[in-house]
Amino acid sequence: MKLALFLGCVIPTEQYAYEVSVREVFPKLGIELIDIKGASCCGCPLRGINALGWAYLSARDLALAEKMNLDVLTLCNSCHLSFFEIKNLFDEKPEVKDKINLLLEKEGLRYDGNVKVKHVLDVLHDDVGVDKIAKAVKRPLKGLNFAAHYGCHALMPSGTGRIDDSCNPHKLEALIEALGAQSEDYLERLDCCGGLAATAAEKMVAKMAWSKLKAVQDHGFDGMTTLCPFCTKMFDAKQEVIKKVVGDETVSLPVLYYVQLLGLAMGIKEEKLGLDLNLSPVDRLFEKLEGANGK
Amino acid sequence: MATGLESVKPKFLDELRSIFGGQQPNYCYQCAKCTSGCPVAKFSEDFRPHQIVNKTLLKLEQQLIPQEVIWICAACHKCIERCPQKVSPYEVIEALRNMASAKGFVPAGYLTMAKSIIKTGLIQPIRRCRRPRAAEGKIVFYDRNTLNLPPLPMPEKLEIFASNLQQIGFGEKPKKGV
Amino acid sequence: MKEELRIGVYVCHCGLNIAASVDCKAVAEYASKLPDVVVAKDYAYMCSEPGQNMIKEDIKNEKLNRVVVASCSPRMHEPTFRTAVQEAGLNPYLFEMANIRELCSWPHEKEPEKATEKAKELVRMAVAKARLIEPLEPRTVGIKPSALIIGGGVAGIWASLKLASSGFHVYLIEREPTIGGHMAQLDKTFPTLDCSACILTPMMVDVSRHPNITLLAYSELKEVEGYVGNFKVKVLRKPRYVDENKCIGCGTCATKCPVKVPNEFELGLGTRKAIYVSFPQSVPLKYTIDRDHCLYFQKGVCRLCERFCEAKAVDFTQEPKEVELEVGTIIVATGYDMYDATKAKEYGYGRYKNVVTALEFERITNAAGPFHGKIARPSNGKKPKRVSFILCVGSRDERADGIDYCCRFGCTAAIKQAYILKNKFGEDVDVDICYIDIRTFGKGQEEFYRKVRNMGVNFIHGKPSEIRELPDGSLVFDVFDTAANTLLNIKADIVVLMTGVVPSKGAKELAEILKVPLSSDGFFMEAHPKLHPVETVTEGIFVAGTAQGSKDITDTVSHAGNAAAVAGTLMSQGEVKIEPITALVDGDLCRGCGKCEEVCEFNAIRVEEVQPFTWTRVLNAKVNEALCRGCGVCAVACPTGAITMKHFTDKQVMAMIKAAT
Repeated sequence: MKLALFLGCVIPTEQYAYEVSVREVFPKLGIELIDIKGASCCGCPLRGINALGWAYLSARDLALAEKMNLDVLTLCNSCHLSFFEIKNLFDEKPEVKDKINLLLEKEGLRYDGNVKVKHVLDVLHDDVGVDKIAKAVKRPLKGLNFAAHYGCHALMPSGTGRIDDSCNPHKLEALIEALGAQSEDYLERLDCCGGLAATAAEKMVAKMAWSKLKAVQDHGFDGMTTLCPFCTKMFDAKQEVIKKVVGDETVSLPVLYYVQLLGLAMGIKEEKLGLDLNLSPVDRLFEKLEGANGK
Repeated sequence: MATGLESVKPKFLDELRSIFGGQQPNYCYQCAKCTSGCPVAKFSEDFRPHQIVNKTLLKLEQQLIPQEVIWICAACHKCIERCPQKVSPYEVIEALRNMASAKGFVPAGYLTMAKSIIKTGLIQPIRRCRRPRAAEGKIVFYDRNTLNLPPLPMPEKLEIFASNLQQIGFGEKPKKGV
Repeated sequence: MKEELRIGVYVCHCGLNIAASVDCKAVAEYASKLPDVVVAKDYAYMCSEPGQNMIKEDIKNEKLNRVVVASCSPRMHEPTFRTAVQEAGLNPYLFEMANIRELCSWPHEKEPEKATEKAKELVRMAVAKARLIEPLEPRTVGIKPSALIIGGGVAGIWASLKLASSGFHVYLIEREPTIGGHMAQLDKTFPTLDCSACILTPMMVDVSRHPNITLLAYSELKEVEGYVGNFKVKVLRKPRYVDENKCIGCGTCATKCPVKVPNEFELGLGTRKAIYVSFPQSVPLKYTIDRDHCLYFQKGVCRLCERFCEAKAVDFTQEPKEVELEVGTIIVATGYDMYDATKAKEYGYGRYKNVVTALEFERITNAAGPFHGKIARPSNGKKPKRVSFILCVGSRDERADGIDYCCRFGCTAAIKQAYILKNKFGEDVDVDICYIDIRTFGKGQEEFYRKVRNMGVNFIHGKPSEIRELPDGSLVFDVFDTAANTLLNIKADIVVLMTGVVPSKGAKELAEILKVPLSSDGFFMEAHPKLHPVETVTEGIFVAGTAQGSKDITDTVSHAGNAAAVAGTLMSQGEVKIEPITALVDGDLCRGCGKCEEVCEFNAIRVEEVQPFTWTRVLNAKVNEALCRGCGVCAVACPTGAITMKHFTDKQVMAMIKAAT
């Protein structure tokens, strides 16, 4: 399988671990990734500044992929949603599509909407499949219990090609269980990380993320698995900051991308998965794994 | 003191609806299902999506456009998922944000991001991060380059890209209140 | 010799409805100059008595032989003016209407000059047709004094009793093994708090005993042919595998039957045997074997019921039986179904045991229900400490899985259920009602709402976004109360979803059998929502109760009574006139190809062998004028142009088109 890799903004400039782990793991599952040359931001964080600008940016990235004649793999929930929202809106309002195409023409590009957009979650669950993933596991994560965090944009709003059911999703849990680990249900499973409001309301967003981290920890999970760089930035990179803002030093939860977890289970070394970069205490997981497998 | 209601001048709502998006505030019947499920409303006393929609319908511009409250929505899209009247409170808020930006009411962070996009195509430059769990007493930094990742993506025809965005009016900060 | 045409044209102001945008005087003036028009007047209300008298006098004094009225839609007053014209001695089909209201003054309100020009054109077209129309005689057919009522819920029961007491014979068919419908499942009814089954079952018994009612339960309608006054229907009697003439309803068979399955009447909250009656007061009280679960039918074993039945009523060899009936009128009383609550995914119905629908809660509180009146949580059978109601689940919802209309009784039903909880447990139970609006519009309902407000029920003006379940089966949700301006967090033992209401399963197929239209919401369409709520657009077929639209028991009974009265009035006249606007076949042009028969939905045109001359037989299409509805599809399909529609002949329509251009 060959896919055009769309990195977005936050991953190539900050959430390096996601890129590192995807570039390491995906080829081993038979997926060839070709970077999209000349890609830019999908525009979604700036939808509030200028909606037309957002449309231009997303349409442009899709047009670039169309030129490559490949389907797109996004790693970020928001980029994924943004591309689908643009497709829907262009279908409803072709006059805006024409406006955008006039601008794209100047760059030698054209948006026709023929490109399929995929996300890590549906590529792994639907295209590769849970069975193939289970077969690739060399180091089963026995005895570990991970909280699945989908991130809002993977699930809502229904009707825009979301990756799983908005009220009762199961794909991420299935993928975690394929690694030999458990993934129990918990009340706060579908709660939002707050990440996209961070620019305007840092303190409030810290409380939102803290509330979920605390709930996951209190439930007894060994860690939280994520799919989106905005969510992971909140829960992992900013975990210490959040603790200080809220004033609770007791929260200490390993947070890692599912692809990193997958790589771990496939027996790949931690550094090759960017697990040396996660700011949350993921080293605790390595200790648990060593203990379980008697490494 | 009671707030006067504007006479039926369609300008405010027309402008709102002219912004690219699916917002339909008119159909709202104030069930507050959006606010009941809103993750931000749970943590902020000020943010109530159903109130923002209602104020929009009553054209209470001053309570919306210059205010911070329209910027703390986390864009989770749950209100679109749940609203029984397809009002789409989130898109109403994005449209209000567009109108506010055009008048110069916008948090500085967004303008920084917009300027960065015009220059490089991305919302921020390469960030240097602190390596966790470094050896005792050492502080080690790393970034994309030290990790041997391929070079950053960047629009090929950058001048045309930038001029396209400027043509749309992206990233400019007009005088406040215009 | 062709008679001299003397056409009278009358332009109605309709108060300001037409006159506000159309210059009626100018239109009348214009009409007066058209050839063959000898009288042209305008007047404020043509349909009023003075207006009609004006026409009648002009017919007499001016010797008019054609009349054109330019006013509202023919659907409003065509019958009015035809009657007036007939009373003056002129054939009623020598009258033509020009619709200058719905087709002119109303849509073109903002352009009065153009509206007036268009009105003149419409009048010109009507006059062009008027020159060519011919007198027609309606046919009279007899009406059989018997009615078929489809559906044995309270609407069907009520209409049956009313018609039967008026002396008509009623065939009441019901597809379930018993009549009673949803009303039989309810607990106490608002606002009087009458026990639902207690007020219904006496009527059910009356139905079974009435000499004028033939009750065909466990039966379905298969085919309908014919026309008003003369419907031929085929009813399929499904096999109970129990002889109705022998079964005395003692229930011994059920006590012996080893198979237990979920009971549909109890909505799965209780069980029944494979041989069963739906509930103890079933009418008819005859047992039925559920073939899909009976061990004999599935595996060829058991037969305990047969062994122990003293009346020897069990008969495994029973076959479905078709019954043919001839009736004069048909009343559709097929009722409603509850909206499928699994579609409201965010509330977890089907996933969470303690989330129930309103109808399920009726069975939970009902003394005759699966918990014998002990109000308990489905998950553990314990008394609930907190019950929360969510109104409008699925209703007033524009999303893909929602229904956009109000059910009309959700609010009152929830308030009643809240009353039952508070009345039984007092302060030992917390009750919340989460609502968008409270609609208690009926007589006694506001008083009932006030009474329940005084019982300490929390009325929360806000709708929860989603429900989550705790490990012990409790349900938690946030809801924003707009009145208190506070986000509340509620932990409930039971959540009751007041779901909306949808047309009964099979309504679409039934509508096709009867050839009556459905409204956009899927309920049977009434001829006029205000003035003809029980008639369909097909003469002789009526609709009663919630089959026409959601309503509570009070309104259902009124509606069903109306249907019975209208059907009864029709049947008591003994005969009915059939509109002569039917298809007309020119035998010389017809070559018997049969295309018309193919396209006719009403089986009103058939190709037959005819003998136009003694020496030859040919195939020709023949119209059954009683069945023909005048839709014109055959005329369009006919490749030789042999078919034309009376009163809408090709010549007449072409004349109108020519006049317009």
